Amino acid sequence: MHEHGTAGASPVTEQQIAATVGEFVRRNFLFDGRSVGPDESLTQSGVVDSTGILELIEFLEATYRIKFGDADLVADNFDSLSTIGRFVRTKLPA
Amino acid sequence: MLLHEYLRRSSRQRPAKVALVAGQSRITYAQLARDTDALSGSLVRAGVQRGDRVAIYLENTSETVLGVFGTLAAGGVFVVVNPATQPDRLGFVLENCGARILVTSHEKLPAARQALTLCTAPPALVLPGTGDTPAGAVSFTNLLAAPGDPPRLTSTDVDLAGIIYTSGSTGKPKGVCLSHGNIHAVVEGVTEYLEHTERDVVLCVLPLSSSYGLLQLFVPFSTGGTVVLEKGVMFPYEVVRRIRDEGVTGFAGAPTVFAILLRLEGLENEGLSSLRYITNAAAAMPASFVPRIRKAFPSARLFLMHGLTECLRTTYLPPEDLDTRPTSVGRGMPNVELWVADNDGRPLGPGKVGEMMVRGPNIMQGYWNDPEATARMILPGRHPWEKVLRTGDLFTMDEDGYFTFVARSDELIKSRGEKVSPIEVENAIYTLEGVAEVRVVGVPDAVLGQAIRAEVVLKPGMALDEAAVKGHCKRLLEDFKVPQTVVFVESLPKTAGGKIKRSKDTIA
Repeated sequence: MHEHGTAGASPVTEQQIAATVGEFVRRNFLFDGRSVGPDESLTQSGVVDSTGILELIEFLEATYRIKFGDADLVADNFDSLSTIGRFVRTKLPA
Repeated sequence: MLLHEYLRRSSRQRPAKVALVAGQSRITYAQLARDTDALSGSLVRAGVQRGDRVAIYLENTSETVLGVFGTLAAGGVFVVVNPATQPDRLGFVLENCGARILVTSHEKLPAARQALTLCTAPPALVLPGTGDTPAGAVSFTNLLAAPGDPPRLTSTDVDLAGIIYTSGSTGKPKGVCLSHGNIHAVVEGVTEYLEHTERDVVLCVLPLSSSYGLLQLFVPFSTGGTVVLEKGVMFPYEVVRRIRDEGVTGFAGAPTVFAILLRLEGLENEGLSSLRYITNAAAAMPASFVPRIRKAFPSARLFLMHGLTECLRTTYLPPEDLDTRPTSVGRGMPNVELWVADNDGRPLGPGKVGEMMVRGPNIMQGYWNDPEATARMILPGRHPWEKVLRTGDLFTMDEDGYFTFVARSDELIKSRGEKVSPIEVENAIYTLEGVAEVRVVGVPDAVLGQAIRAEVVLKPGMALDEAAVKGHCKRLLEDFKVPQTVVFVESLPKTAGGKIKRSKDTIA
């Protein structure tokens, strides 16, 4: 904070994004109080299905006011909470 | 023709051609035919006899394809179970069909083991890989490596090829028994109207547990084409890549699949000109999707179709008729006769609403071990030697033989192309503490066909929320049976006899 001393909120970190997404997944897809680990595959483990992925993508676009391009919509970018955190971070201003 | 002969024929004609692309592997016809022969020999040595059931509980992988063809070449009957199936239902299916072998994966092993505890004579387990095969299980790779010739069969095309389980109105799955001849008849009809040749490359994202998915294998293999197999559609751009990289010419989808694909906004700029046709079945295509699909895939002709597991396919709408008959599912496919009948089975004239009836070589042999349910759906035909099939779907037919869907004739909900028994979902919700009464209904949904709505009356003093009910359903039921909405109501409408009124009585 003090290094730049700029006004306004500090930029959101990968870890914060991952935590927000983790909470969204827990509330919308898990139901049973379980949580997912940062590197657990959301799709391979069956936590999120094909309609769930669309909901997740819409949630990310609305929450972070970003727009994914067509070529962004591949498994590599959305596999786990940490990959989502990393990828969404690249879409945000530094 | 016997279905496994497709591979042998194509392997003689074009051994080096790639038959199957699955994940990282590319398998030629020669290799696929060789592996099928080896697997069938091993299955017979493991005790599989003619007509024995081999269950396959896997995602869309090369092992699923080999499992299907190896079983057929061994004279057996394949039972591909949707990988989203929960242990209880898997156990029911295994017990109901008396499976002798269960092919599954390490990831699915815990669910499979749980299912086996429900079986009086549990099937032997087969798992992919060679490494750490647990005790009591056999390695798929070892079965492929075993030397020996394929068994000599005396089967004919009236023998069963596969059993596909579908939801019955009571909530218990029913096994639709299809012979080699049933499936081959549909393969020939589809090949004709889609004009399939050896040059075709079909992208299959539909589960091989469904009849629509299985046809994506059998049609290309019968004509020497290539199948590109994917485990569903999660990420739409992966489909674009696959179409481009493999030069895909044919793509089969359902509205849920197209909803994901149409998320992409620049599809028309991707240059996917190899695609020559797209098909839709499982649920009616939302009218708003048609212009968007045409714009996105300008080189592809769009075929809207109708079918049901009990006869695989009934109608297709020739693409040139789409603009003049946008709400129709078309007319009968080649070698299938269709008409609309009243409650007594008498044919109805044009424009009248009645049940679609089917006559042809495609109609199932019956439901496995369920003569009562079979007798309800399969009726005596015009001649003593033939039968006709009821579809349970209400349609109108016009003067030119084009059909337009009206509604289901029974209480089943059709969501995401899958039949869902409201009773099964209600029974699941009734096991939740605090639920006094529940009614599950289908409500119109553009993409799903019908969405599932649960109306719940709580016991006095009990509190539950929507997430709790959904979560409970998700633990007990496959994804497509979990309600999209749960509403809490004070009471449910009753009939004069005090029974909860069904959806047909109240939902417009």
